[in-house]
Amino acid sequence: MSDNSSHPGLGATTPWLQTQVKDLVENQQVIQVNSDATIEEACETLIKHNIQSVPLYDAKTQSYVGMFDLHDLATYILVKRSSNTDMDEISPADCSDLARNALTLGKKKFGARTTESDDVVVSRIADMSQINPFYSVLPETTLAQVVAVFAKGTHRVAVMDGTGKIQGILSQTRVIRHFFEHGDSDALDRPLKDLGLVTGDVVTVRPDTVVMHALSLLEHWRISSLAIVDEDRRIVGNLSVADVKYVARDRRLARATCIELVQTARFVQGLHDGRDRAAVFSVRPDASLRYALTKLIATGAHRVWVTEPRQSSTPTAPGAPPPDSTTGTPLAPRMRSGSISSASGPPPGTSMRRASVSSTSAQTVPIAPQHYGGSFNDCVCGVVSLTDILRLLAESLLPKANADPEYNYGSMD
Amino acid sequence: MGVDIDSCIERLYLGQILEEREVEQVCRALRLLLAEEANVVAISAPVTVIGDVHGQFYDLLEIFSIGGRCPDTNYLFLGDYVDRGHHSVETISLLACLKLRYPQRIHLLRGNHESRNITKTYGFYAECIHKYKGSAQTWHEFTEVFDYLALAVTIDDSIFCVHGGLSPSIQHVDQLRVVDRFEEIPHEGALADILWSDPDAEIRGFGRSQRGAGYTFGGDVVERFLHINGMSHILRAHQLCMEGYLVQFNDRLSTVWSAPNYCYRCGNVASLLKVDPYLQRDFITFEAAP
Repeated sequence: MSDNSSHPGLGATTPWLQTQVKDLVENQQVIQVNSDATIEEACETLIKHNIQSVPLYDAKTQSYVGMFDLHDLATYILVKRSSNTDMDEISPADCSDLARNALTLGKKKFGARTTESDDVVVSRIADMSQINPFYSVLPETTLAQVVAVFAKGTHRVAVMDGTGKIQGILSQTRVIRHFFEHGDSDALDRPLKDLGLVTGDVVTVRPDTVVMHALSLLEHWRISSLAIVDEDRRIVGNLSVADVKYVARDRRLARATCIELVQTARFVQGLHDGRDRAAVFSVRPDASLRYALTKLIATGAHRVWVTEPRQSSTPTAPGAPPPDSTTGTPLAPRMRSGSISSASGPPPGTSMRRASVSSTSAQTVPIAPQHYGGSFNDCVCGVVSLTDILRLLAESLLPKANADPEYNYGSMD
Repeated sequence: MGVDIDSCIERLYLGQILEEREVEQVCRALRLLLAEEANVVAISAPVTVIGDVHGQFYDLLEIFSIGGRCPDTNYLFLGDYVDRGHHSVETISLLACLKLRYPQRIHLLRGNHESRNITKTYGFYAECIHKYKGSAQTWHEFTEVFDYLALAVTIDDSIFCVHGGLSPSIQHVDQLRVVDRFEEIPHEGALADILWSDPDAEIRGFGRSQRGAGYTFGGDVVERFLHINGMSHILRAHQLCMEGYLVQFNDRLSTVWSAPNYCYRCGNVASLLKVDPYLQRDFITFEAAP
């Protein structure tokens, strides 16, 4: 955990990276759960504080024994389901090798034995998924080192002082926000696709996919989110590992469809602050990194979907029978009055987009041209996650090929 | 029109839903009517303004009992008729019929929940399927109607009424008049902003919204908008208010919320806003119907 400000090259060009982690977690109220709490109790804590993971504290040894996060819960549910159900009951389309792989992983840690009762203590399943293990850093660690850790996919680290006390949890989101506010990069104004940030492999499910199958996909691919798409690959919703906490509350949700789980999650979330959220956060491939970041930071999401317009449009013939009930495409051509409401003025989007916004405030945002945000009719073609962006930042940190050969890159870990 | 609209209204007041065939006819007729309405409709006070209802049908009946029935009272609804509550079908059916029957006495604006995407997630779609025995036809009909709802209303050229808030793309109301509104709410642009934005007393100018659509906007934006358009006040809904309403920015903007005990658990009161012929604003609060 050496402070690398002694290395002149890095420190000079990227001052934001020299920030010590303790500065970013100041005044944080640390939420933790006792290691002997039940899984339900741990999930209630996650729901109550709207967080995705929580450190587990063992009062007897006065130390932290792991991090419980929702990937662990997802793995646990898969394991439990397999031992409580005859595997033949799960249809091949439902389960197959993907779930079996996840189960094997879970069973190694947890053991094939499960109890019907749900009083399993949370410490038994902590770090079960091995996706977000407990990772701690000293308060003086700089962001340069943390960015490298985040670039590998870990979502958060615990900032621990020498006495073993957690000062705070530092998340990818917090670091990205710090970069946006204090960092500088030419990359910010370049399109996502030029930065190689648009990963083409998007794992999708249909609205009626069973939650169990979705969980097995999350664990198999070690991802945090799935796009729920209709048969035209239009995104109708987003299933995140964060939504799994509601399955702990109501076990029946494990057998429900993805769209039902998402509905439950959104229902509860909107009650939190009385503000409902858009169903999908999306951008076009030519959106700038800055645009994607403002969206990510404002919404607190861990990824945005990348969508593009469909290649060919198939207009519905007048008088055609209503299309399939799950697609929601328009039934008939629009009826319009001749004069008033039709676009008799300039075509939408020309004069409006040039309108200026007050430039006196630091809070103003440039007007995003309409094509930056995805349209509801778009097909999903990629995803940009915080991990992807942090990987880009980590790569830009690495000195060029002819760098100082004596520098020890191992210390980046 | 093949449907007996008075009979529909009478049954709806009793909480009985219409038949699928009747919904089709009402919606078809309503689309024809709304197609003639401008994006920004000019009305006169007195009018009673109602915020989000969200399928809380029995609270809607409470609103009519406190505020008076339509057409005895003029009403302006600011959107969000469906989702979350258990009686979205009854709510939107009644309001649609009232609009058809008394088009000048009741005005319905579009809210962010009047959308195919949102209603698929927040409950209206599921409710339609359930109440109409697995058929999504009524959902299709209503969501088609939503595309035709007006975006904003001006009361005596002085009070600007919209569901969400302001947009960086719209400085003058005339810009809103030329938007092509007859479509599903897009993710970005003026139409999305008007329906999704929120005021924020802590910022100046526009900021990105936590909701993932629309913007947040400060008091300076409100002042500038009112000044440019020669208006005195903005009325909107879209955000839960525990006290039923919230007045901000030196009485330049008000939020009206009309769903008491939101989702049957928030414990909030709701309000309706009476605007008198002198444009005096008076909030009347009420609690959930028993």
